[in-house]
Amino acid sequence: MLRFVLNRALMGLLTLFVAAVVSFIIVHLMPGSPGETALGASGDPQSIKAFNDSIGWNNPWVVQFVDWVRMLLSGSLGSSYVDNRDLSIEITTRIQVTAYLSLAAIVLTAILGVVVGVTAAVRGGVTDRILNSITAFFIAVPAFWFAIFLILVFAVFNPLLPASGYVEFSDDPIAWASSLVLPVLALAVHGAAGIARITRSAMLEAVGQEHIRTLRAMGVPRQRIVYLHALRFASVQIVSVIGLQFVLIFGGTVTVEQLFQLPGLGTGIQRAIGMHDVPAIQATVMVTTFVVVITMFITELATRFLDPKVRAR
Amino acid sequence: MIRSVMRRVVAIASATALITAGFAGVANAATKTLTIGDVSDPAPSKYDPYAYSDGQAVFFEALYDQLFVRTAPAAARGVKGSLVTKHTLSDDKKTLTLTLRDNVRFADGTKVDAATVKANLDRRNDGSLPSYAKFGAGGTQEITSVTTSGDFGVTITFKAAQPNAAYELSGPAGFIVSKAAAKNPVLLRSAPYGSGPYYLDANKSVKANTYRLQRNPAHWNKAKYPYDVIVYKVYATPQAQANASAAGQLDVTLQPATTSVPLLKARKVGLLSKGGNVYFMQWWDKLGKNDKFTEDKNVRLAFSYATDRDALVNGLFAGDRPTASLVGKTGLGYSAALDTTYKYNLAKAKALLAASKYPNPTFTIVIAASESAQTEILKQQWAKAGITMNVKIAANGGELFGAVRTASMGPFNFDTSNLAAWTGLMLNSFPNYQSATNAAISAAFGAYAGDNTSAAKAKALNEAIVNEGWTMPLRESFSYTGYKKTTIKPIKIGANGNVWPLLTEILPVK
Repeated sequence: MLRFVLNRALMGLLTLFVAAVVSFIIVHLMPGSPGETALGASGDPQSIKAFNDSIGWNNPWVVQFVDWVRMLLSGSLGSSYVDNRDLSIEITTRIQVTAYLSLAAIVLTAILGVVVGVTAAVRGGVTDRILNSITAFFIAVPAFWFAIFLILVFAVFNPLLPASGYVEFSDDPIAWASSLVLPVLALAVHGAAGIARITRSAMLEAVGQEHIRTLRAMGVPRQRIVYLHALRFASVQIVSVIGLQFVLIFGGTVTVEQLFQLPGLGTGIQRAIGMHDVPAIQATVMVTTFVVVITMFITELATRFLDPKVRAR
Repeated sequence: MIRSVMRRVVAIASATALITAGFAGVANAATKTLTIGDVSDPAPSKYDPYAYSDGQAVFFEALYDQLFVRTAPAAARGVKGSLVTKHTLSDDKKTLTLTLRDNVRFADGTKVDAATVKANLDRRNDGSLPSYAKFGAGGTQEITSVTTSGDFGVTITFKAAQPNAAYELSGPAGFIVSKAAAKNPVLLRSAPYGSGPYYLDANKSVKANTYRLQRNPAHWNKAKYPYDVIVYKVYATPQAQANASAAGQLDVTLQPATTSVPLLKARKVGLLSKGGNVYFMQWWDKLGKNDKFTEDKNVRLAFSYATDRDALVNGLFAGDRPTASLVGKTGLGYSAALDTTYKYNLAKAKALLAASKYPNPTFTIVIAASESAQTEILKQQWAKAGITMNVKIAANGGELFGAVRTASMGPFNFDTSNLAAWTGLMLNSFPNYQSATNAAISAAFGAYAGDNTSAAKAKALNEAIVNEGWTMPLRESFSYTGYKKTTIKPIKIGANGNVWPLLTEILPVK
């Protein structure tokens, strides 16, 4: 186990390093310079150069990269070139919104997906065909389209929930929950349809296993076979997909955050790119990569816990 | 056992949620909140009020006090003192002497005094500050010196006589930032430094998404501002803004897109509108130098008859008004007769073309990519009359502006409530590169210039320009402000004369 953890920690660090190098190179290849961003229209070439010199933009890339990594290791994400705001504070604020959104979405995705998938596999027949058609529809429908549909139905024409915006939990818990309902649904339904498909096929595979047939022959109640033994067998695949789905949701909140005007990481990086705010782009990429690395690690741990074959490797 | 524990957990969770919700409800009821929705970030890169214009003033009014505030009606250009308690303008109208209020403090604790006002006005030559450009060297209201007398006396000397000197120090140019920020404007990149009726709650604000402004309890004029909290929301798209407004989330919807207007009307959102900006096709060539057919007035007019303005507006510009009048409906010189005369009439267009030497005009138009949808519709409409228009999207600004010299016509828009300005431009500047002349237009312009308050003369000029086939109006565009009727008193065009209100003009129903 210790070897596994160390191995994954090393791989995680390597992933973070590669992400840091790639994001560093990409933002440095972007046209323009931080001086032009910071000084805007008032910046004459001399003041732009002075600004760039002051932040070390004209130093060799290697020196800049080492300085940046050193700053990250000291626990700081730096400050924005646009308005000098502390990015650690900014990203802490934004990541809360994205985290609430993604976690709620993945929980809903998992519950919906597993329930629908198991039902389709266990019931079979017409139920299976109907559920298959529904999941096919939601796999085909992009999240943004479904988000617009939800806004129109539940906010614009029937004002039951807010069309957009975010309320802090500490300000008003009910309003906080209301502000997340539609975005979470928009994010969850697409993924749930995919998980339902995986769950269905994993369950069908599980019920055909020898040990399940043996349990049946021994007269173990059907419910126990399905929801304990077969689902446990199928859960290895399901958990892996849920882990991947979380990564997709976390990284793919840009559109939904924009549609619902949520102040999360997605809208943050979009603005940062639009304003050529190099430190903000790099900080967001690093934080997002870190979340992905941790998620994949947890997924692998869960898979090991559920599957003795993986543990034995 | 497990069930009993579960029941207890659910009961405790429900009670906690209800109590928390109850407290939140009480807190909301006690706090008067104004929620404003905008599609552009009022402070994208800094909180420097001089870096922006009238459009962002409602945001900066909350954070900064002004020397003078404007009074309605806008046309009177009236002001009253805000930070200024007394002012006098010298007989030659070049020197304005101000006495400042002595009890105003900035959020950083420093006092508003004469040295602060001077430090602010000393930024007038900073080229990055649009609202101060008029005070800088060569500006229309160039200030030559600012001196202080005592703690609260300021003397401002203009280069030329300024009958409305106090008015010039209202609006965005009248805001005052703290002395520290005026001397070191870099500070304004990360925070506002004002003395206004509200302060920015940085902990509850997220850049480009939500700005939460809390009441400044120490403000000298706080009774004038009825709200405890202002939430200024920034929407990434006009549709998101319209959805929030239609869902009742916004008290004030600043400048919704015209395409959002039908939805807002359907959802009973109050709307204040202001027109006057007319979109038209301008005949750059009236002499047949670029395309021979343009020399014939009747051919130019045939284009107008062949234009189905209603279809154009219904198809692309919901919320605009189809019009053939160069002046908007509420502007001085509007002509309903033009709207009637140039109703879509394909038969007449064909007849005019058939009677001319150019029954099938063919030409190329150079446009910006943003004009392509409108141009495509016009192309299809005109094709029915036998007109062939080839469309070329300009590769750059140079090619686009160069088309004024080389093409026959092009799309343009102008706030034609200032008809004299447009006519002067049209006769004497780039829209008339070939120096065409027209006796009817010149005569009407001359008459109007001599009496520019006359609606009849303005109308005559409007009709001359359109009937002579120099300009072909298509639609009048409107700016809007939406307001929630249940929470906000009807908003009217107020002291700044624009569709966006001053903060003090946004009043709660109760």
